Amino acid sequence: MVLERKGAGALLVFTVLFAATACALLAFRQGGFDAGVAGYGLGVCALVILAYTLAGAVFRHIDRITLVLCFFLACVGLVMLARLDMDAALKQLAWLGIGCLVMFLTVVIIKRARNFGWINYLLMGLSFGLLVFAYLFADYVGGAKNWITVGGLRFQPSEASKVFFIIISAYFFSRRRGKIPSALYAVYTAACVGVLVLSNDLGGALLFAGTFLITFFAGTGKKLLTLAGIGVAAGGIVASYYLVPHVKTRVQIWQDPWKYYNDKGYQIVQGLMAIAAGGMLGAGLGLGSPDVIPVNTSDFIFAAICEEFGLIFGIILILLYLVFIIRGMIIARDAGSRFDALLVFGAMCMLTLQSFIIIGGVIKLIPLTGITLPFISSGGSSLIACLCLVGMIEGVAAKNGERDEMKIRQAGGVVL
Amino acid sequence: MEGAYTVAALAMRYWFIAAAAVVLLGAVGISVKEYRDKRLVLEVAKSSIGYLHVISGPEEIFDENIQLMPENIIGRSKRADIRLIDPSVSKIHSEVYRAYDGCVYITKAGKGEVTVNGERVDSVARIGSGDLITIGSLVFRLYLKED
Repeated sequence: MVLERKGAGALLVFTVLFAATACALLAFRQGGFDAGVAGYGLGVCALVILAYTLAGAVFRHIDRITLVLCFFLACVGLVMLARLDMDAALKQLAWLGIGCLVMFLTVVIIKRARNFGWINYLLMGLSFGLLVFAYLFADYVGGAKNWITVGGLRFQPSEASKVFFIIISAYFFSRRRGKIPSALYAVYTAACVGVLVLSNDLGGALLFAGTFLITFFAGTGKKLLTLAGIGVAAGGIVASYYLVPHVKTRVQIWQDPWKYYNDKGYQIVQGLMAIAAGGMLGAGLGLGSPDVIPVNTSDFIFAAICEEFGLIFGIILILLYLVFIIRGMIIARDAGSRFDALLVFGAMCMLTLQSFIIIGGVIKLIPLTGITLPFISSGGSSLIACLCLVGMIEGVAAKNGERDEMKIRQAGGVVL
Repeated sequence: MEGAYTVAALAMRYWFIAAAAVVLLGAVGISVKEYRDKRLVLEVAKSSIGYLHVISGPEEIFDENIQLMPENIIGRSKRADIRLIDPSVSKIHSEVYRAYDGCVYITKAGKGEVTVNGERVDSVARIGSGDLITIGSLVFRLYLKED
């Protein structure tokens, strides 16, 4: 009885080849050969290969496919950033390196942790405190007040809160916690969403509320309460439409962006035109004009990718997110404890919702709310938070793998 | 130079789509295969009660582990659950099973010899983890799963 674990080495080869060839092409974009871009390409390839090899060597049972998918998405982002803004690309590469370290650290912590016990209350205070701090002291960027600048480095405290929120939610839904702790958790969630709405970070608020509702349903299975929660959320959205001018504007732009083309609808119209200009196969890397789209390196990177790589490539990217999610769900299903299962489920939900909210916003499926595209968009705190979530998923995958191997060994089998 | 770049960028569009498609299809393909294999192996592992480690025997099975299910007929015959091709093994030589009391027993079914820790088994004997079992001239160490 032999269980042969499938490596994803072949997929990694294609990922590296993709990044290498794209950077090689970009190196010739300005006429001559740009050694800086070529060096950057080598750096991307080296980092991805090193991180994958290290992860496989240190954590035997890590889910390699999830890791490669996440690296492929990161490579698409790094290539697109190198085309749009080399400075942002170099920063992003450094953040990816730091993010990988954070991911490894998370895997180690999750592998050893049971459910974090009382630490959850500490995390609760910390994550809420970060949101309040951002509300009070943050700068306005793109309409939302969620950026803190310290010594030239900008980061979003809400990204760290997101990670803590997943752990706290998994803790509270993994078993009954008594009335006072449950009420505390409910108040905490409502307060987080409230602070995010007040900071005009509607994407973040939607993300917290959505993840809460889905994890609530997965953890408790209470249909009526979930429906009631959806009702409250829907009521909240309608109320915010009438009460918060920012929301009303966003919805109006969504309904007819062309009407506001010269003003607030400019961004979404440029995004739509970029996607249309690319067509099925794309304009070719470096041949389109994604520079005209505002915020093309973070929120609108999907439109820039669609323009230069084509709609087919864009659809493949969405499908890659889907495969990533399905693999996460399988890991959650196989998890040994409810806490682990809900942790992976929550992390997956958050990444799914985040991708849906921003891709839906860019393609005008839903009103646009500023949020980053996981792994692809430029932004250090967002990339690190996403890799931290991947670390949680991989940590549980490693636990699952070790348990399965023990079962197989006890029956005299081997895991290769 | 600019013309050459345009031609290269336009041509490489196909490669980029192909690379993404290979990663996507590869991830799906590997996931499906891995899922199936794992499920099959884990099912066998779940129903198995332990295994026999071959200490001495034919080269093909030497140092291998033979999975034990709740009921196993051991012998040279094709009908045997665990087939041991060796002249010293009878067609139906022995049976290893887990009884209702949760204990594991070995029986002597054919003419060939069965011993447990050096003692001959005439009809049936209780066995446990770590026991040295001989079936004909083949020697095994028994490992039972801990519940």
